Amino acid sequence: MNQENFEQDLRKYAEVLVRIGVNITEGDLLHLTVSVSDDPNIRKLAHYVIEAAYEAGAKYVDLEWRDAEANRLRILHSAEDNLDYVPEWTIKKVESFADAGAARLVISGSDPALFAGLDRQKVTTMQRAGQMAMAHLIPKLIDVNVWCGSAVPVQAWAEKVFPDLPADEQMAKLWDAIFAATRIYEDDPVAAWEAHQENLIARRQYMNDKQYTALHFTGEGTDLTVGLPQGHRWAGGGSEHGTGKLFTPNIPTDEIFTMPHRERVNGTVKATKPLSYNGSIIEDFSFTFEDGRVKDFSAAEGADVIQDILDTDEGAKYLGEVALVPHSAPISSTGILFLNTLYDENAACHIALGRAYAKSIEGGVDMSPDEFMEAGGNSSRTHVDFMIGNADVNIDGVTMNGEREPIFRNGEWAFEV
Amino acid sequence: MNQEQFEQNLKKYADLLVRVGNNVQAGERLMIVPSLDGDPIIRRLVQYVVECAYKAGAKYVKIDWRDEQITKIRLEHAPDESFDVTDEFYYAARKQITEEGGNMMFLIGDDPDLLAGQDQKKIARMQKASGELFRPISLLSDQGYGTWTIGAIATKAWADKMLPDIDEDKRIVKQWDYIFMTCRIYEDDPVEAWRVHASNLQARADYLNSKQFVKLKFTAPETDLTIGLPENHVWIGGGDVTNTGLDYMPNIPTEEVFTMPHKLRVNGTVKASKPLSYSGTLIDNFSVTFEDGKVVDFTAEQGAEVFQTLLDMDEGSRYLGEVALAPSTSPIAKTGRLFYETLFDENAANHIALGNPYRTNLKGGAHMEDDEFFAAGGNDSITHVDFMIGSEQMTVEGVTADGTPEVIMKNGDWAFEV
Repeated sequence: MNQENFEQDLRKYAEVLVRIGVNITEGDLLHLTVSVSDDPNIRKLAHYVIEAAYEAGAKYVDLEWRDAEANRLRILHSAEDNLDYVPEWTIKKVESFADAGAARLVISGSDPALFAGLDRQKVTTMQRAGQMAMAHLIPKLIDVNVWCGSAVPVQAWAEKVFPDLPADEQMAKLWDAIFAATRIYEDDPVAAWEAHQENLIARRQYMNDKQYTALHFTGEGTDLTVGLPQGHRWAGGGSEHGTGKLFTPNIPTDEIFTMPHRERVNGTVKATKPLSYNGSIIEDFSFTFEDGRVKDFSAAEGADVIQDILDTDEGAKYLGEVALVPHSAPISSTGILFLNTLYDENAACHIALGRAYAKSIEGGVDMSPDEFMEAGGNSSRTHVDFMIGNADVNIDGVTMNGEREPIFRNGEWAFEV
Repeated sequence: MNQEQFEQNLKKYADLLVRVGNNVQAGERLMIVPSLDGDPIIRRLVQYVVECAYKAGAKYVKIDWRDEQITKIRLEHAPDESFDVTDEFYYAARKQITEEGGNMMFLIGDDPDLLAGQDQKKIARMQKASGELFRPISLLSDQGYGTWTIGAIATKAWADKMLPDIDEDKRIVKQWDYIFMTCRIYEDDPVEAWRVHASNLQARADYLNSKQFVKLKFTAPETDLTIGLPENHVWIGGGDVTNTGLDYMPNIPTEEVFTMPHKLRVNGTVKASKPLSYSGTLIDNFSVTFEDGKVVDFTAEQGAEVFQTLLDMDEGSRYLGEVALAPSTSPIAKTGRLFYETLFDENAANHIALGNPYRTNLKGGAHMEDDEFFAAGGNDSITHVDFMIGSEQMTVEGVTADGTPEVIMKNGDWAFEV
């Protein structure tokens, strides 16, 4: 790796996060959260992001360094009775930024096995309490304010993705993979992103116009019908803020997504990639749905973790998202299994257990929780994506009068825009 | 010191910060605010602190890394309107922690030259905005809500400034050595050593309190300064006490015994005995003249402009808020080093502070109305900046109400037994 080029790439990545991710413009507040790391490049990236945000006119940028190690140490050393305790002040800062309409950019480098070997029950107790404490903020953070989630390497992650490489090459290789997946190697990454967004927006408009009543997925071990509610909205290639500003909730993103009708999912689906969930790995698993609810599941590894997810609440047993990603997307082309949902979900079509996005249905943001459920939406404290696409998957759309139209053939888009 | 011993010392230091610094109790919350530097030693120290706190029964521990570089980036790149924005977001959290009686631990290792050459007007606007915002939290602290402690960590920027004569690859280890030495980590039982040390400082404070001097006279070459003390002033040393009766140590290390001057009764000239690092710039070789409490003149060979900015912060930044006695025989003074960090340098010599006083330095002060506190001689400011005036050539006399002088420090060291 050439250090000078690398610095340039870091700066380009910062630009993409600021201009495409949270699209900072004059007068904006930015709440930036970055995982603390021993890698000095991550601190540099954080500083470049702040610089780029101020140059774009931001009024104030706060940098919060997140230290996940504190959670691991808590599980190890805290009295068990205290693990469900979340002081109000830990979310106070997020809350005040959210109330002020700040954009939120999260750059996370997480160890996929941070909690491996720890008491599962304790981890769940702690995480559930954290989710519940944040729950009332989610609508504002996700559906009202501008936000973007992105990733940076950490050694513990890099060594799991590239176990066969020498230790001193793993981080560099993961940076390289991240830059490739986020289009940083394009001559003008910001322009490349704008073109890419245009394409995704055209596809989501096509799908919105079609208003299919269901999607039918077929592939090895998969025969699944996902019903779509009336008035469902496909999103992708960026979200629109109330001010009309376009932002990109995930960098990278290659997906368009909407919400299934909670009670109209039937059949069996086999995951096409392992899932790294809160520090544990789930492998070779499949689910069977009946009228939307998970009726059965199997897993070669991590069955207990799946059970924990399903036990989160009633909504965790139903789907909240269905997303389409062509097999030829940059992440898939790297051929790398990132063990990180942000990346892996953009390598393949996927579905998510748990919470649906209010924006996935016409008028959803203004619906009461009951109305949202009535319309087919799902509500849960959790949202867990898993991959169901590969080079073999076929998808048909079912129209209102029962006709079938091709959407995917052999893992690729089957319509022109 | 081999690697294993070093790690043991790091753990002892973490233990000291938790048990003596904040004195964390079962069921309490702790927020650790370490300076981010990227050095794995610091991350390990912070992890040991977290571990110690949970073992002491803490209910919740949060790590909130502070990255000083972002201030510099803001000064260089932010639009002008940014400098009136206050960190109300962080403030909301901090206020709540303090109200709940939580513990704050700051681990500092700032670059003394971080903001050198930056626009002083913008810095002053930022400091003013944040000083005003955080004021209610200082008041809560004075009323005994929660604990706070400041400790030091060796960072590259600080070590480069402090130890330029040491080989670059040995500076960090040498600086940790200074931290361990001055924080009594090399004692067999540092926690016990601190208890003894604290009770000694407490005894000195008790002695001075029993005297109730009406003024102190500081004499040294180029210094002839009289500091009047208000009626019912309180000397504090060897730590503070919360409103629930728990002892804690706001600074580690600490060697000082301090009280509050009468705002309007300071007269004469004082020559600083060490450079002052203020808002990222060094002020050196400076001398200040007071008349009826107010700074009426000053000279500085270096950093005069920055000193002027400090005086212009508000009305109270031209008056004193603290006077502290610290012997030049302390472990810090014995290193013979200038630390470029107030936490250490102020404990190596007598010092005074411009700006806000601690209200606990006046009997009943923490619960007085503002007017009553000001009438009693208390100062009021959004800033508090210490600078050193003591040396081995300094004599300090206390004068009692009937005019009797008593030498309390001679040749920079204590002149009375406790």
